[in-house]
Amino acid sequence: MGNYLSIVKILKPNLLFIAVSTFMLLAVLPLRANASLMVFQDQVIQVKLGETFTMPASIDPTGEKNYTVRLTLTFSAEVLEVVSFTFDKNWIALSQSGYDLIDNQAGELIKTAGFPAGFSQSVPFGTITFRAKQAGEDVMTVGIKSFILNAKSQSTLESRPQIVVNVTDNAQPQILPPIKPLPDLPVSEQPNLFDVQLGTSSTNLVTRIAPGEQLPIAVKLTNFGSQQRVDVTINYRVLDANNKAVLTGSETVAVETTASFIKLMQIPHDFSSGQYTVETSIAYPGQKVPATSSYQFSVERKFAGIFLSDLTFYGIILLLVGIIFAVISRLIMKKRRIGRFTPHEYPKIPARDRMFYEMISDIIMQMRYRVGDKAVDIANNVEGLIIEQDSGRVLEIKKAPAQIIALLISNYEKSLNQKISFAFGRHDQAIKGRKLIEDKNLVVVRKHKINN
Amino acid sequence: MSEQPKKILIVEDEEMIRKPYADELRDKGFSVATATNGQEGLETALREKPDLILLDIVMPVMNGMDMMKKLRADDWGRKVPIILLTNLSANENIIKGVITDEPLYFLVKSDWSIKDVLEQIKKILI
Repeated sequence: MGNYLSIVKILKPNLLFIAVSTFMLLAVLPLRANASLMVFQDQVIQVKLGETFTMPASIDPTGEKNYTVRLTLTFSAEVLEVVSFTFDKNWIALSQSGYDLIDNQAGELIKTAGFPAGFSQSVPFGTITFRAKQAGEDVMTVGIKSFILNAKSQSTLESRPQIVVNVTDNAQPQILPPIKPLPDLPVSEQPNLFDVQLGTSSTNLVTRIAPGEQLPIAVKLTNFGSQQRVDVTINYRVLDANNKAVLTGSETVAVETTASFIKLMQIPHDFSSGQYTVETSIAYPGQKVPATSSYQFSVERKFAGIFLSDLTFYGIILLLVGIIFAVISRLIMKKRRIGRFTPHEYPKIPARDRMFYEMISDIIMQMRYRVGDKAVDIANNVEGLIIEQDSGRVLEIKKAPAQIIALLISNYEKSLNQKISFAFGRHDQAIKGRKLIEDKNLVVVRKHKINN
Repeated sequence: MSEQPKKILIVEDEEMIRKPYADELRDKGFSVATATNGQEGLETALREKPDLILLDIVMPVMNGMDMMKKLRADDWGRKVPIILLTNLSANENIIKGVITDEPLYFLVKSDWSIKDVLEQIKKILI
């Protein structure tokens, strides 16, 4: 004790601090008893092209008893290929999918085995034999799915070593510059790093909705970090034009790498029309950076299932179409009417009969002006008179013209329930051609001079 | 020297029609002659040579259609404008007469007021 005090006395304050720190560090070290290691004989390997080389691996439990080991190793399939793997004699291999693999295409090796009695001191695990198939450098890495399990099935693996392999061909100098070994990688996986997207090009983004309807929100979550399954809470907010939240919601989904789904948000019936923004943010364990996404949509009332603006638009279109249709119809009607009331000419009818054709034709035309197409029907029922149904043109007169004219007028008088007055233009009164006169009580039939 | 007034002959057996027409036409400045049947009308027409004849169809002694036919046989009477003023419907015989003798108008009395007939006369003569 006296010696101890005398030592303390002779130490300067700085040296005293170092000494205490060292003591405390040594005291803490036993707490790292569960920090097991995968140890490779060499961390830097230099081989020639075409050579095979072995890579013995051992497990150092550093005190704690461990039972099961899974070694995953990734390598460049272009530079190296695994020739074989041999477990050490005390291990019992676990040969099942996900635990036992040599894939020289993907450059991956997985070997899993149990140590029945457990081991608390460094033990050899196995030997991997590689062949160098191409010149170059490769960094083999113990993968994140590797583990060393203790009695509680907890992994005690502390770090993941990296092995540098340099393959040279014969043309290269025999003496190479020294290669520094790479540090071990942390055993823990990469942190979760999520991003959220609303509405992608592959989804039909609804940008207009009516109160009372459901707003479909296309959500895509992407984890750029680890590949672990993580519970992600998605918070939805609908903001009005003043950036005030008027609707909120949330849900939690379990995501590994990506997740795409449609979230339906019920828009209340009392939502007023206008522009809104739907904003989505996510929260997950270990989140370090926020992830949000948003897009705008509008709320507009519907009438009879049609948005009011569309209704107005379609209404205007319909009105325009209606007006155009009405104008065209009117033009067509006018043209047809003009056609109906334009006197027919009969240049091919012999001159002595032509007057009667014209008279009858004019009477039909005049009556058509007064009673419509019924005039044609009446004329059709006059025996001995054959006319064209649409135009009222006289095709043939088979009886005495005066008799037909008298019958025609008589039938029209019955139809109108009144007697008919009419007039005849005289050929010697300088009347040029025949034209329609629309006197209320006057049927005008202008005739040409009778050629005797 | 003022122009001679246009002369109109009214051939109508019913005084209730003849007189108002005559009065109205005189009032409008026309010279008016009257006859009460077709025979008298034919004689008056050939004598007076009116510018226009208002002619009833159904009349005693000689009806209007016969008078019109006889008038058209005369050189002067062939061209004089005739307005048939009647209550008859246009039957085959009337149509034949109309086609042959070419009256200017066939007017139904009940549908034509004196005023309207005067308008037609003015259109023809003025």
